[in-house]
Amino acid sequence: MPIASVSDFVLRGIIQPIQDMFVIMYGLTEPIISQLTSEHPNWIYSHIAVLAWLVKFLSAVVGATASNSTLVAAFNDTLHTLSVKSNTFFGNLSGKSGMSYIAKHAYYELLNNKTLAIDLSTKFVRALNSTVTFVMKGFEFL
Amino acid sequence: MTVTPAEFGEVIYLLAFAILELLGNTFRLLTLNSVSVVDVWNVTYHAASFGYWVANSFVGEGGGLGVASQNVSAMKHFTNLVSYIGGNVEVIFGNETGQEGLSAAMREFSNSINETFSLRFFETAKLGAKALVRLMGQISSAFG
Repeated sequence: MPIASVSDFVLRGIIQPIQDMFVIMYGLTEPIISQLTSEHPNWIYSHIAVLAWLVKFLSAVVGATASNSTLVAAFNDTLHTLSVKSNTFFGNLSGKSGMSYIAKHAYYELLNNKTLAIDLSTKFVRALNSTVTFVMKGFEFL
Repeated sequence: MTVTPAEFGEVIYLLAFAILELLGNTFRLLTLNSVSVVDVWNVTYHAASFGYWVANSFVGEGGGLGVASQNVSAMKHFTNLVSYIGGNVEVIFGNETGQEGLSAAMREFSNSINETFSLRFFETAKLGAKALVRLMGQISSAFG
């Protein structure tokens, strides 16, 4: 017997958390935008700096892997494990298994539930608006 | 104290250089003979299939963006965004003099480009070409 219907799962387990994430995004950025000071570019600058060092860290890991035969073997092992199970894990275009199954049913849920689709898209555009404005303000004050 | 466009240019340089290093190292890994191209294609194909279904929720028929374009409340937020950027475009993006906004940061970034950066750029491009040639060379054995 299934744990729950796939519709219930994608609604409560996937779509609603994504909606909540959009609400958190605009809930945090909208009040901040109205209180921004001239030091706001520092915030954006620091985030780019953190991103740069994160990319540098990933680059160091990949670089070390490519130059060491033991690490290359470990990488191959990981890649092969993922490869033989990729149809189970990711699924395929038919969306009958893995993560594609979840994503396909989330899409079908949006098609079948117009009110939900409108609510989700409104929150998405609002989050997009506040996030882009927040970042652009950094360059506006530069 | 507020950060200057010169400091912004430096951090963009650091980010761009780090991206080139990451891409270069990834391409170098993919060109190693011991890495199975068929495994790479297999994972890529299935991950792209998942991406297809995710993208459908946003840009597919009846997806998020399609619904937003027909909804007044959603479009109000989009209009506010366009109005904000449109009303402040020169302050945000700057102009041809490169004295303001993103243009000022990009001017400093352009001025800081040196031989080390250019060399890394072409090394990454060469490794990218090698990796793509290897991947495309075995595409028929991956998909049959």
